[in-house]
Amino acid sequence: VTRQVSGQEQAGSNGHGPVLLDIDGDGIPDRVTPSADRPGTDLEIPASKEIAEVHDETPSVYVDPSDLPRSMDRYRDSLQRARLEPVVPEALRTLRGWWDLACLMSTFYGHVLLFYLVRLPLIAAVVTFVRIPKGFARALSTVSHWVRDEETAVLQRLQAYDEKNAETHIKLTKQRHRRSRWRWILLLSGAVALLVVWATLSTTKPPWWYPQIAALVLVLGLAKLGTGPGAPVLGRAVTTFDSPKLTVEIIDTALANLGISSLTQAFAKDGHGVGYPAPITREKQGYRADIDLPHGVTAEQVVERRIKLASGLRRPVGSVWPMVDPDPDMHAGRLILWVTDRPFSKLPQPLWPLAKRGQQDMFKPLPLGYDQRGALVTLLLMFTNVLIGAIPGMGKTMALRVILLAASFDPHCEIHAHELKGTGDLRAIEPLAHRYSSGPGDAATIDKTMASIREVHSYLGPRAETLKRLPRHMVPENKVTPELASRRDLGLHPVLLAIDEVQEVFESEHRAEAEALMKAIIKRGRALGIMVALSTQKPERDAIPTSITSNMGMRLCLRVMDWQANDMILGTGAYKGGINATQLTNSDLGIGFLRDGGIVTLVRSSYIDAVTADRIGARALGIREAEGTLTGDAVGTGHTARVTISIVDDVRAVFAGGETGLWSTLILERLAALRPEIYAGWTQGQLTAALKAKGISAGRQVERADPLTGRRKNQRGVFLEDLPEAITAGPESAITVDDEEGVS
Amino acid sequence: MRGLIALVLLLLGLYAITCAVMPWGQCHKCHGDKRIPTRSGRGRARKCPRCRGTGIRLRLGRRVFNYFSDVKGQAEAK
Repeated sequence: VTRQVSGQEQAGSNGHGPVLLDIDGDGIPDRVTPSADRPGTDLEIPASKEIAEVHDETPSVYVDPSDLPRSMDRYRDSLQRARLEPVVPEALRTLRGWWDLACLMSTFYGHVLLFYLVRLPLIAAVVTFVRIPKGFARALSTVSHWVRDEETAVLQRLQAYDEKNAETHIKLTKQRHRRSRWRWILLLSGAVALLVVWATLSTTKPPWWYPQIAALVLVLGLAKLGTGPGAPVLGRAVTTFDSPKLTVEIIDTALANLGISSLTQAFAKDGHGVGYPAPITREKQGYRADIDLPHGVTAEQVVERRIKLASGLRRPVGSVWPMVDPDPDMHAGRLILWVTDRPFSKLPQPLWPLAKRGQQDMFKPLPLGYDQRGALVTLLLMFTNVLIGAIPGMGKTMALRVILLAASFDPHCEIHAHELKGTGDLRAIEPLAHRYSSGPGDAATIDKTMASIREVHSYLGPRAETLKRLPRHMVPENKVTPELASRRDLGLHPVLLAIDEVQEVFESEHRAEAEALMKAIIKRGRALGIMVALSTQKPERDAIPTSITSNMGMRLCLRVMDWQANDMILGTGAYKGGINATQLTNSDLGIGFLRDGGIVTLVRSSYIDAVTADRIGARALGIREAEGTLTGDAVGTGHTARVTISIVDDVRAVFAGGETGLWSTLILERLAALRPEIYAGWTQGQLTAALKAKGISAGRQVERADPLTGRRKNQRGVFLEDLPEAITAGPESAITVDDEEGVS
Repeated sequence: MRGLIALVLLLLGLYAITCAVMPWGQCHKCHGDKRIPTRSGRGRARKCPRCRGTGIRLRLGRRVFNYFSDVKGQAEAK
């Protein structure tokens, strides 16, 4: 840029164009502040002589002096912001990583080897009877073409057969004869030379493998010749899911055809419409490209046209994820393009971390799902609240269920779960929830929900009192701490109030009360360890009061239909800022944007089906039972009966009257009949181990009649006398927790 | 009669193949010699005027074929 700034202009312009500033007040301008369209670029110019002159006499100065000294701060900043590529790839940083790689490689190549070994006879047959003859024929025809100079013959044929071409024809004929004669000589002398070599070799005594090698080369050569391009003998041994590489050309083509006129123009000019500040990188499950769009084009414009972009990239829409750079310091034209190998909703998803083992602490982030990179996405619910929104059927309740299941693994967390759709999607939580209800927004369910809201609201006062009473050093931030939360006597344990389809509450007659209570809970409960998770398909003002939504710190927005809904859930300006959940399509099940303050993550919440959810819930229930933290409805409904499930009692129960000993096999059969949900599929080993843990031997020989044949024989089994009398199972304390204790 | 027709058709087919594969034949006038003797037999033989000294000519069948393919080409060229 060689625009010049005159002295008058700088005096008159205010915020428009470059201005010379005099900061130290010595009458000499010492800084050129950036123009309005280039925020953040501080061009520092020392109080040089030229500029001093500018101020006095000289009418103008170059805005972009070429000899501008580079500011040390900028240099430092650019160093600091540079992305440091790992020296050793992350996958190979640990011994385990190497081991994993070795395992994968051996599986892969072992499979390939086995695949072809099994098919070796078929391959041999095809090669011998098809490929080699074909290769021989091809070799022959190539040689004969060459010798007979078919090239010229083709030229002759291309000539229009016309009387006036007679001379050309004759010329070409002569050329053909000349060439052909020489080539015949070459061919024959070559053949003679080969024969001579053969004769000499056969008289000497070669190492035994010479002829074999020659034959092998010949056979392989002919087989290779006989194999046309793209005609493998067999199908592939392995199908890799590597999608076509993402290249600059593909991206350029896609961007140029997006229908953004300035973008198209930029490409039309010189073919280099966009810049690539970093190389395209291969990630775990796809590619990442950082793109600098042309001047004046924003990343949001591209994000809006995701479907067109996908078409341009020739990928399914579900694989293409254009995003605005989450770094707020980055310019608006920086686009980050993720292209996953398969549609994000179909990528193999790692197991939800709590599915099989582990516990959760509400003061630590809850696992929600995985992002497009395959990295775990968590959400720290403590001291905040979450609002989930989407059109029906996109996985709203599923996401809420994941959060609830995660919370249920903190045995101290008191869960209030209300699902006002009536489909029982949160059933897995029921056995362990302090309060639970499910119904299609009917009066009874709403009443239960309201009761729950009132109950949680009633915690606020006492909890605040408790915190106030505690010595200062125990509550350094006037917030519940993990130590305080784990002390049952204080009643400061985490409380999670989750309401699915919350608009049902606010559209009922209880709206005013619900609004007042929820507002208080959301505002004051935050520091008191009370969390709220709401989900709705109707994020409108009349469905949920703004006073409530605006105070919720965390948002999860799955597919919505318009920018209004998008902004209601993700916050005003989200759509304009490129956080655009309307771009999600029907196939993007469970995929949404998680906004935690300024940080937005694309996340696919872990898919946990109802059966798995029940199993996971049962595990969480077990933990709560063991800890004795079941409260509220969970105690009253008789679910705690499971506490008393004891292998010893069950084994005793399967002894029929008069039986003193039972074979293990029979015990297993009867146990499976008694409680199929637990004992079905148990092996003898499991039974022995379970009994051994109680100090009972299942290895004694029991003599009794076979129920099938009636013959008496000896088998391993258990004697009734070995079973201790009336075991009262360990943590019965679960039941002793009083329902009202949490309130007081 | 039918046999005769079949024979004629066969010969025509063979001729067509000949015209397609080797469209050039010997000049009828000079028999491929490219030049012809003077009438008296004395003096230098002169260049065959028929084949303009090439010694070859396009077969009649090929010429007919060329004529029709030219007409066709002109028709398609608009």
